Amino acid sequence: MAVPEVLLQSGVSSLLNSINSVIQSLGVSVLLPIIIFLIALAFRVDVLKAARSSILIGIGFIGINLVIGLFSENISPLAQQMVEVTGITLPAVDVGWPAAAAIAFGIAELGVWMIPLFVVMNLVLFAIGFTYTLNVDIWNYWHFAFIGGLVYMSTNNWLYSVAVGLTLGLFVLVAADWTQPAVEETFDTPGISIPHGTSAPYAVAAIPIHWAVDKTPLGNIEADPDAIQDRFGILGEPIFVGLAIGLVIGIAAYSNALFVAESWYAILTAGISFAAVMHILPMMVGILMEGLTPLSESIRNYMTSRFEDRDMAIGLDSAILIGHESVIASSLLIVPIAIVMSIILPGNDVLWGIDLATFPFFFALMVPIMNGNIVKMVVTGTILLIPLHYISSAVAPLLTQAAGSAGFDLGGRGLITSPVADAGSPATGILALIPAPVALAVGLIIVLGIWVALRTWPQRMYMVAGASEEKARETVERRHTGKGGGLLPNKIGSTVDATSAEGRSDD
Amino acid sequence: MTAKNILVVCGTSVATSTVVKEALKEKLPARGLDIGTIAKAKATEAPGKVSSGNFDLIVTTTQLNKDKFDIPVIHTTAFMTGIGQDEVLDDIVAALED
Repeated sequence: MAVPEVLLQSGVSSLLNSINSVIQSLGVSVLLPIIIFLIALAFRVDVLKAARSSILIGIGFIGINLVIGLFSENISPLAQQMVEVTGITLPAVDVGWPAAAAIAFGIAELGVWMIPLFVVMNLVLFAIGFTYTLNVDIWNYWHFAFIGGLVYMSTNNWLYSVAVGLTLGLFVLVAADWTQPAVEETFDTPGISIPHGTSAPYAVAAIPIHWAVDKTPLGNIEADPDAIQDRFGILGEPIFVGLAIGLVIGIAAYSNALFVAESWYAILTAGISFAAVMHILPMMVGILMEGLTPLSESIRNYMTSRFEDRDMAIGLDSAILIGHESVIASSLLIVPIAIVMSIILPGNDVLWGIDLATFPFFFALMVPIMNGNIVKMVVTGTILLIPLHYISSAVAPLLTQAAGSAGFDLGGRGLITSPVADAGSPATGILALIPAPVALAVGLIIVLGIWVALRTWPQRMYMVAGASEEKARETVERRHTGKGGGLLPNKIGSTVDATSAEGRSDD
Repeated sequence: MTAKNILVVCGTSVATSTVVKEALKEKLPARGLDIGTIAKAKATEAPGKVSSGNFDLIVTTTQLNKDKFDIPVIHTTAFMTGIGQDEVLDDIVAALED
């Protein structure tokens, strides 16, 4: 059989070039299943199961592409028209976290490679005693791929992108250890921590804001979350939120022709299309998740079986916290506030959409910090919405570019963003918007600062994150006294920190 | 015995509920249960979906107010952590056999 002449002539570099061009012409919906298949085999998933998983992941991508296509066909022209008619310019359309996650994993240069990289990092960090968390929630590694992908779009430098992605990984591990006693106590989830790329940065940023809010009269108001949830009832479901947003954008776009029947056909279609995207997009992402499940199981066993005798927290998705009534009530109340802010904040580019249903992730870890007080949660959340709008506006061009790189067809219609998860997160602001070397340094300083504080004043830190004094002391006794399993110390300085010593003398 | 329908609830109806659904699909038939549909729902959608009367049991990964439902509610993270799965499966079987 003849070897292609071109290969014989120009040797290895040309071979690499042809591999590259094959990869590029395959597209994400083919390439990603192949990569996932190989990673699954490496983690000893059964061949047929791995094959089924990989195919499902390809299907999920094609499904997400279809829905995003539907969205940009229907909503983007309306948004354009809204600008012309009303003068409100909001060019960055919110496509929501489901699209952001798919884009993140779909960026060929990085995406799913974050899975094995993070697993190795987490195992090493656990082994040396840097963290108590084994993050088995591989689905949510997309946050690290997301931030890394944005950095790749701005730097074209693979090493920086991986380093910045893993820095967010480091941060969520430390934050998970920090919030774990409070989460365990509030949500009754023994042995579980929440290393979540959306919830953790907002919660940490909320701590100083809440401290200030608490000093004002607002800190004394109480509201009953259950009553609010009941009042909204079925209307709080994403399809109603989607319908309402679609109708509002439609009415704004046709506000100069509201007495023409044709306008109302378009307005009603916009409402239904928006509701449809809100409902169907998560289903498509569910297919991706179904594909990832066998891999996630074997990675969990691979990670936890190594350290059976050590004290560990299993890191899970903050989705398990979201049924809490304060989370649901605050997430409903903040939706109108967000929409009004997007219109009145000067220089904002975000046109709210799918991520209006993502606020539960924003609030999840704030519940213990604010004792589930929804007034404080909504006020603190409203303050956080200011940077959120500006960060997600600034990130929109990078995210739009990343979507192109991941093979999503936006039809060249303007910008996209995903304000709550994670385009507007404080972590994105720090890690993706300032030059990569500085971002890395700042990120690592924050992580190490929290780590040293956790090891020096563990009881105080756990209480800051919302644990009761009793729970914090119990955790300190279990975790920060005596020698740990790793090389790093469980405790820096004297055996108990100051508040702890006072607490004991009261006994 | 008629086929039993289960509603799996989590925050998004995407992530953790998928893990639970896959685990139930794989493990419940081995326990001799006739399983009809296993559907997923967000916590906010659960009351609406249950009121259709089509479901026999809720398995949730997040806190739900059990008083709002007239069918049994089992709250578990065992299928994600891998710890205590057998006990939870026992509970699910017991709840469905009643």
